[in-house]
Amino acid sequence: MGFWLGTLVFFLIQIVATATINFVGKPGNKGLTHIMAFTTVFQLWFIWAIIYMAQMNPLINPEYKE
Amino acid sequence: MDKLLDFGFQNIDLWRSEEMELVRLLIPSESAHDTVAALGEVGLLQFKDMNTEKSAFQRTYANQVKRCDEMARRLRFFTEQVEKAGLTPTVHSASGKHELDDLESRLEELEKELISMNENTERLDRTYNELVELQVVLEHAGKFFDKAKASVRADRDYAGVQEPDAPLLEVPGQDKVSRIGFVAGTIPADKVMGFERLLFRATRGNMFLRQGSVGEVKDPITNETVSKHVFVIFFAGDRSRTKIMKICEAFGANRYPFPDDPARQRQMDSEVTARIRELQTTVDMGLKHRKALLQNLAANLDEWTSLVRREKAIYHTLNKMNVDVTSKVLVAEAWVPTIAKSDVQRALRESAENSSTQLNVIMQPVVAHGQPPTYFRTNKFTAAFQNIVDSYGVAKYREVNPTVLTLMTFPFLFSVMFGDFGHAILMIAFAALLVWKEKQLAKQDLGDMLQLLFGGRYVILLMGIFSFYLGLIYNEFFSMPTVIFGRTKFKCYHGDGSEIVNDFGEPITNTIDPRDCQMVYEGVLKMPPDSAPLVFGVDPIWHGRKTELPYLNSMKMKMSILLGVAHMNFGIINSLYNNLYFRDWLSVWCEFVPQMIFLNFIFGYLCILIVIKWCTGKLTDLYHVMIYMFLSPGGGFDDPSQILIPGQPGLQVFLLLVAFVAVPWMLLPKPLILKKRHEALEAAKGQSSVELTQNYGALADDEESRHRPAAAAAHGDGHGGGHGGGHGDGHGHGGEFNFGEVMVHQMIHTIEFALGAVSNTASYLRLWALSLAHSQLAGVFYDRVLMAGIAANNVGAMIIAFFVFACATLGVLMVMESLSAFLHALRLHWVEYQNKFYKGDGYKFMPFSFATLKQLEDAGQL
Repeated sequence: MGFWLGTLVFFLIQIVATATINFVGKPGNKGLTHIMAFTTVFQLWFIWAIIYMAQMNPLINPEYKE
Repeated sequence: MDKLLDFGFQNIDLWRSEEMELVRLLIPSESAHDTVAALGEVGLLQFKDMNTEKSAFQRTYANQVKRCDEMARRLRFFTEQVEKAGLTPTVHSASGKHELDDLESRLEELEKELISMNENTERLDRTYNELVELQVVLEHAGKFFDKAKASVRADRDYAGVQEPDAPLLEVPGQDKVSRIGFVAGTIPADKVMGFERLLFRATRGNMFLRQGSVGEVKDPITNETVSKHVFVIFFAGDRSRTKIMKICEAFGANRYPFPDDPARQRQMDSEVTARIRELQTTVDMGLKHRKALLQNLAANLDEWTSLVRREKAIYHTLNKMNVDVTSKVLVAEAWVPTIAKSDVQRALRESAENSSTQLNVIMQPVVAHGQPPTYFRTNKFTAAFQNIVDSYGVAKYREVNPTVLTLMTFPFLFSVMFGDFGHAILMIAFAALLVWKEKQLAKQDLGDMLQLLFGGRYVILLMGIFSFYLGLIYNEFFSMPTVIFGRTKFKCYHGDGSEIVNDFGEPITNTIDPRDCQMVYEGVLKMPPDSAPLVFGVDPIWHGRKTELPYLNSMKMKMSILLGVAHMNFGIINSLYNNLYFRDWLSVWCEFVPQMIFLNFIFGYLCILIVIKWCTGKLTDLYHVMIYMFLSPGGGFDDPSQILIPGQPGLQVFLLLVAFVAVPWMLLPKPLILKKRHEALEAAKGQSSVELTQNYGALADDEESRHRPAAAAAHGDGHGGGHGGGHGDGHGHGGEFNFGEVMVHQMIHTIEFALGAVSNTASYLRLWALSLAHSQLAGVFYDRVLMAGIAANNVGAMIIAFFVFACATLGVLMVMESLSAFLHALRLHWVEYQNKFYKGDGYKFMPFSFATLKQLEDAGQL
């Protein structure tokens, strides 16, 4: 559940980024900016998702040194 | 909504290099110079050398180039002189109003003047220095004489006798001195010892040397300031004199005339003083004059230099053109970006108006043979990334440019290895400073190292920003964990699995230190089965635990595999874009598809297993699964609880089979189909050559084929087959088709990909290794240095510990670690990513432009 919620947040970030790029700033070809936004948000989501999923069912427990 | 979904992906400048056209220019020879000058202002044409068979001396404008070289030499001489005089040339924007011929004669005059002035100054300097030395000799040697006389007199007085045969009129003492000869002069201080020794030996001790230091004196011959001694040598006999003279010469001692009569000495001294004063004024005048000349030069030097540089470049360009037989027209061929064609035409029109010639320059497109140059229009942000890609190889014409994705994936992969938001803040601060002071710094000469960093300021800034994010993900701030995103999710349990509660029946986890759970309550820290992990990043509890490394290693290793497979998939998808653009359907079906299958049916499958294992928390050993997938397909699952996907054994057999089929699929069909096509063409050739000529005519007229040489080659594949299959080099039409060569090429490709899929995936594990190294190093500096210092409970120790910690953080982590992470990110892009699609065998568009002349000259390319 938390995973999908987090993914939704990144999706919203992507929408905000796209809207910002398209509605703010001077008109012209913004293709490169969009690609940059896509790759960035995808990467940020990807690494977050990896770390989140990796912690869902830990097989090792934290132990203090004696 | 339409506007929101308008991404403008269709025409991204950076995605493919600019379209190029080859144009032929017919330039009337009388306006050739001005036309080329105008084109140099535009700076968007790359002239082809049409006289490659001619040497530099045989070319039409060799003479002018030689003149420019001569002028450049003079200007270098002036620059040298100006810099020696401690003046700095003022930087002008070139007005370009000078005529070259005027400038040439003027430079010649100035050079003569300066040289004669230099000679004069040198001569005067020498005379002056000689006089100064003479004065010094007079002064010191006089003292020796005075002393000698005084001692002689004292001896006589002591003896108390007058020589019986002493002439009455002679002054006693002076007599003896005059009968023996002497030589006076100066010698450098470091040679005195050897000088004396040699003199002693040569005269067998029959001489007497007086010498004394006079400090720093300018040597008249070398004009250098050296520490010197004045000497006077007394000797007897003419033979000794010649010997001594020779020794003086050998030692570089300057001899001076020295009268033995004190009265004449005084007279000479005053004469010398007077002459020195006189000479001083002359020298001063000369210097003033010279300085004025140099100042004048310094004011103009920059302008002249850039003018000469421009002229030389213009004649160089003119030398690349063909002179028509009638000698009225110069013929040039040049590459021009299609987008800049109108600019060029406008410039040509304007220059024609200015030069008021009757004949206009004619520009007409020609059919290009050979690959056009690669030209990317970059800005200050993308340029650094484009450089990173170009250092590996310049993209083939119209090939997909890796830079577009590299813009973000490069800093990202860097940050995976450098994730620590404390270090990231330092890096951002540094890069932000460079970006903020951009305009100032761009003008300065920063030195090699800083210039390099300045060029990559946006790369560093992005690396810093991504490292900040990854630092939050890894939950590391100078290796300290934080609780920004909440406390740990691990709770305290009894060994039997029930949560430890306090007397009121509440779980104790939130009220105690997690450490006490194990130490005091003897429980274990476990994640509750129904609980979600920390919402963002790694749980802070892991830092410094006994089990930290096994846990993080397993996590980061899997993370590296996932990132790597995703990255390589992007690479292969880029190759699809290339094939589609060049209409190379054969490569789509016989390279792209089997490659995707091979990579994803093995390593993509591994990624899916990783995710499923994470989500289900099963204890499956993935090494075991992957190894037995190959060793005993369909088997290896002795324990049914190891199965992650229902029907996994069968699925694995299927995946393995298809992946193995993909290998011959990559290898065989493409060369065979190319061979078939070639044979079909040969047959057609035999049938009717007329038909073929029509075919060629159609090809030559085809607009598309000019813009897309590789498309033409793919076309050519159909007719004649390209070299090495699909290498669009435009010679496909009539090129020899060598099946063996094509086959070997394809074999290498296939082996490279199949082995590469394994080794490249393993190569991405460097992400894990470096990120581990970074956090461990940071941890050592933090725990063993900073914390140890603070634990010492002593202000001095704390200060020292902090100092060491700061130095280690800056030197080891910020410089060395970031450099190594940079290099590894570079490798991952150059090798693992780009070898999936990037040919990189193009050449760069180097337009003839005045704006870049200085860099070219500095690089020694002009």
